[in-house]
Amino acid sequence: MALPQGNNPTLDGIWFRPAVLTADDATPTVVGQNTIPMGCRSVNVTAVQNDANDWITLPALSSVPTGHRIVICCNAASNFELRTPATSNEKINNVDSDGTNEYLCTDTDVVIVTKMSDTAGWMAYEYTKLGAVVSAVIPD
Amino acid sequence: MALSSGTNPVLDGVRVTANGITATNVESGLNQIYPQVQSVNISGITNAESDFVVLPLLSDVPVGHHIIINNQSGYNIYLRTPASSNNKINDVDCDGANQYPLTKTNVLELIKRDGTGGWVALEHTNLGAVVTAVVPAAHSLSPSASPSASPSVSPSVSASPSRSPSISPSVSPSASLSPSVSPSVSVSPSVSLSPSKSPSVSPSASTSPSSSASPSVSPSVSKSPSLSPSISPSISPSFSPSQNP
Repeated sequence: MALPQGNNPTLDGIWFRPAVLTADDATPTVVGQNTIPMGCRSVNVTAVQNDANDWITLPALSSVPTGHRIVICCNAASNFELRTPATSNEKINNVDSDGTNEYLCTDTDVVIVTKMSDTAGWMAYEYTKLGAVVSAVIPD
Repeated sequence: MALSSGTNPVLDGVRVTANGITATNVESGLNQIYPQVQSVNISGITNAESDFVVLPLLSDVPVGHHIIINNQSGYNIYLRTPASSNNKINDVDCDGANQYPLTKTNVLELIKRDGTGGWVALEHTNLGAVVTAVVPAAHSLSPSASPSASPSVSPSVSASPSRSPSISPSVSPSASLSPSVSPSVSVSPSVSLSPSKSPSVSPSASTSPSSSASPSVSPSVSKSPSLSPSISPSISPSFSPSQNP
């Protein structure tokens, strides 16, 4: 469903149903297991399959518009990693994060990623559960 | 209206109307943020700065749900979770005993972390500066009219030349006609630790030439108080909204 510019809706409120993911150590064939669906605006990571080396994967940059923002709630009871799609060369915080490097998601934190552009990639920032800003994370 | 994942809308824009509410001192429709609302404008208060607004129940909104609160009430007020809910803000139970202070003109974004972890609050000033993480706490209902005997160590530049015209009485009885060699210097330092704007009317530094025909031993007592303490209490209002842990 697409609405033209003149028909932009005006709403009193809106919800986005979160995608519930489990971090894993492989990229499954089924999007939604540990891959964030492209239309998704909020993600609840509720578990890790193995350990803190498990990861979830962002959608391809080409599949979302510039400025697209995703809120990731880290409720896995373990740290986990955040990646861009394999072999995509797509970046998080200006570091290619398609596998060799990964963004560390700390348990109980809230991570917010915003698409800057197809080449610049994602910008990620993070807050603790106490509301404190986390120092910028460099994927490694 | 709920759309399943396969029919997610693609929009050129969406306008979410801000919900205007007024802070008050009881939970009511007046100060309640409803679950669907994403944007809130607090336009005023009903009673005092102890008034508050109330978030929706965590169970009524999805994980990742965010609400932006714009405090345009002109007052520093408070944010609570529903009474007896045990819902948290920044990991502190805020259903009444503790509250999150909402500073006027600041913008607050709340994100639901999960049903037990509660809300994470991210705050910016009207200048765009990130506010240091706020720990919700209890607050005193009275605006703390205690005079706040803070020492207020303002240096008080009144470094005592003190051109005050020396009203020191200089009780020299004087009887002789001798020409009185006593110049009567009377070095009253008059440090005057007076804070703030106390004008420091310490008589001090009497340059009284003492032209008295006294018997030369007139010390010119000059009881200028000199070290005039002048501790004006510095009654800063000291509102201190809930900074006590």
